[in-house]
Amino acid sequence: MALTTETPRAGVAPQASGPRVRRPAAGAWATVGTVLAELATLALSLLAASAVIFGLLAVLPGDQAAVLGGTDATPEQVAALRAELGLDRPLAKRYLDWLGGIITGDLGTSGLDGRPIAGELSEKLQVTVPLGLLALLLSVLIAVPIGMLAAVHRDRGFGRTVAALSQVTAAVPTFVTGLVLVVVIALPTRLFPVQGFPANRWEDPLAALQALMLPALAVAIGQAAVLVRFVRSATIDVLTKDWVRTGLAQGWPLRTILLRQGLRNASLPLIGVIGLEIAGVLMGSVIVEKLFGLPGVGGMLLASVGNRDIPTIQSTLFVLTALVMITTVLLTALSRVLDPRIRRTA
Amino acid sequence: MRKLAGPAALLLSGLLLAGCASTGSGAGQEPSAATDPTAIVDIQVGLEPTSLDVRTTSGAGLVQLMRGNVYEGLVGMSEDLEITPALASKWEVSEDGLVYTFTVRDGVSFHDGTPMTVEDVVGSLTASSAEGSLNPDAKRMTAVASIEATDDSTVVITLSRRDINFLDTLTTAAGFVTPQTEGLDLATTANGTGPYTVDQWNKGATISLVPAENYWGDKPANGGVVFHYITDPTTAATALRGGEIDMIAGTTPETAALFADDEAFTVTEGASTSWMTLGFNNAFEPLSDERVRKAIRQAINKEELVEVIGGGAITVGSMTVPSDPWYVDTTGSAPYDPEEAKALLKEAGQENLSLTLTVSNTYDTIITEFIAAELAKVGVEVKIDQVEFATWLDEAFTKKNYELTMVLHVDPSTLSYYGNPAYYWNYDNAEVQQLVADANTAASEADRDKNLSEVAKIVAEDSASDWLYSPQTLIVADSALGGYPTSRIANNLALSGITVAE
Repeated sequence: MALTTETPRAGVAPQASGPRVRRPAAGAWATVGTVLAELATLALSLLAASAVIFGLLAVLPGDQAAVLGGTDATPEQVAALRAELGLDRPLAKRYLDWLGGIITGDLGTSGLDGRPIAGELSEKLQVTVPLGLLALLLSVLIAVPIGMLAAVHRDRGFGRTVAALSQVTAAVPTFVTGLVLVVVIALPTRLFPVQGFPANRWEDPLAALQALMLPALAVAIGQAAVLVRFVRSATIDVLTKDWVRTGLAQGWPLRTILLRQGLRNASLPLIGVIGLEIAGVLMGSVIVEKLFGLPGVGGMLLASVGNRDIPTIQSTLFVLTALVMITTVLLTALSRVLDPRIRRTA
Repeated sequence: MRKLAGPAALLLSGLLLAGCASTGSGAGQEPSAATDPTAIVDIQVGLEPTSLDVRTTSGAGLVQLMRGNVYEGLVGMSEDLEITPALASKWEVSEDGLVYTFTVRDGVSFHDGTPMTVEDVVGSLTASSAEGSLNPDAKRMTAVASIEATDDSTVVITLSRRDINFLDTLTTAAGFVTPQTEGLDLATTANGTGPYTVDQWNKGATISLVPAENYWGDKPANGGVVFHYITDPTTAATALRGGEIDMIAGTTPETAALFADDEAFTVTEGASTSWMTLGFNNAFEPLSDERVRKAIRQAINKEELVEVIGGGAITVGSMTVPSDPWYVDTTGSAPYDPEEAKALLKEAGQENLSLTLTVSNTYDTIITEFIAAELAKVGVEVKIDQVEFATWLDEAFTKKNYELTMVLHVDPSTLSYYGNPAYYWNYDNAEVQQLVADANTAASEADRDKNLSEVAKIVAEDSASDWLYSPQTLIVADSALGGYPTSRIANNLALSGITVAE
């Protein structure tokens, strides 16, 4: 794994070397230790998350059996449904059964139609994960060049406009952006569908991408507006460094310095921010999924909450929590690869 | 099908003008001369089924999809509420109304190819009428005493008492015939005898129906139907405008207004059997006083409420609508009169009344706010407690822990629930209970209708509940579409007659 063999790359400004500097072998062991410690923390956090999710859902008012029975069911029918769903078992037993299932990779079955949750969740993740990744990618593609340009031209009209516009755009709700995209792009051009996702999912990747493009863009615009400001300030930070001045004095063009060194240095805070944005992207997805009629995790979760399909809610929430946590750990690791300073002092 | 859309600007201005425009009504039902029998019809529907198993799952979403389209009973029901032959080609009812003899059609097979036999009929009906049956319509089958096949094409059902609604019941989920194969998973794979078979369920998005091979009856006039479960009215409107769907089955007056003046679309208003009901907990102290209930009814201006929600509804004074055979005009039972309401409250000693309105968050808050504002004018303070539907079911409906509540009832038989003192209204009136029982065991439909009209009058006079309005069904369809039903489509949406012009 690149993590343990990575050596400092040239081009990064040399840091003051103190007593903390270790020989490479010791550094590698320290990294392994750090990774193990992080994995242990991850496992504990996931356990805690499972308890919180289960506990909160247990006190949620409303009875799944009553929902299933509807307004026409007799009390006897509801009681029969409760027994059939296993809702009459003690709470602790239900938790342990569920947790045991999760550990062995079994997410359980839906309380509504008895289908395995894992199957349905993977179907929905095939929409939501690409949607989220596409949204992140688009937001970075929009934010990085604009943010860097805004930093370079920070005292001119362009920089000021970007700063002001990003503030305004960040305040626009995702569903408004989505509606505008539908009216301005989808309806006149007919290049993108207004709603829906191919029933055969990714069999036709182009059709699937077409269906995701506008919803992803709607989320990306909001996220980019936030990212732009980080890119801008990170780049300004880099621009004021001594080595940039040195580079300029040696006759290097500013563009080269920015692209070779600046981007790399600015990418660190950016990765941190992107890690934080993942939750925001997930939340934005719930809204655009509804707006664009996409069969994603957000809609599945909303429907399950409405129907009190507790097994589906808890397993889905757990998988989402795990996804966010694991991504965060991976991003931290990535920062370590990119920046020897973090690796050394970890 | 795809077609040219109007300019985007139109949609934008339409959005702005929504509410001012009036709802047009058109005629898209005449079958066009040249239709395309292979065209796929895309329909927007709001409510997705939770499971495909008609034997145990309740809910309008499932009934709308399955009834007469995928599953059939011995008899069916036409749009104008006529009982029609289905899996039974004919039937006879004994003089005393207790013995029903059905001649079961030959050559019918389930979608998986297995032939349907009288054993399937007997097994299905026995299961739905059995004690402890989870069938959502099981309680309509309580009169059934025995079901047997006397030969390969005859099924005899004997009732323990008269049930004038029994043939109606056979058109509901309790009467659907399902294969009696062991270990069948109908929750994910539907297997009926209807003109369509479920092709693919893309959960959370679409269910597609394709014409069933070897269907015993007439082939559908279209090449299949896709139900799109889009809950957002704006998304549905843009999808219709964008040609991605061909029909919106039930929408808001605001959305319908967007299409009213566009020749490419047809807006149709159909009858419904839905009532937005303001439920009183008749067992709750001040509300147990008829004067208080009547005062609340008289304080709410129903005409204005219909305007507030954008039109597309009629006012009713009880749980009947003009298309019911037992309809009786009860709008005069509690006319809008805030002065009289105040007087009634004073008489009842409830001049400083404070009530909580527990309501599911699935309904537009504009309605509850209007009620609160109206009642405030006569000195009744209303606290609105918005809860999720599941919480409402548990707290208000099951535990009857509420004061005022608001629910949209959709089933015409709900009127008879006033004869059930255990129902969530806690309405206990021996006379009404007797009338409902008499209606059920009536010897003729005329008798049943007379009794039910009487029930409607009494509950209105008693102010057992308040009936805010009956929303009409608004359908917006591409003008190329024809032959679609427009009335009572929430639980009876026949698809096989829908045509698409070439």
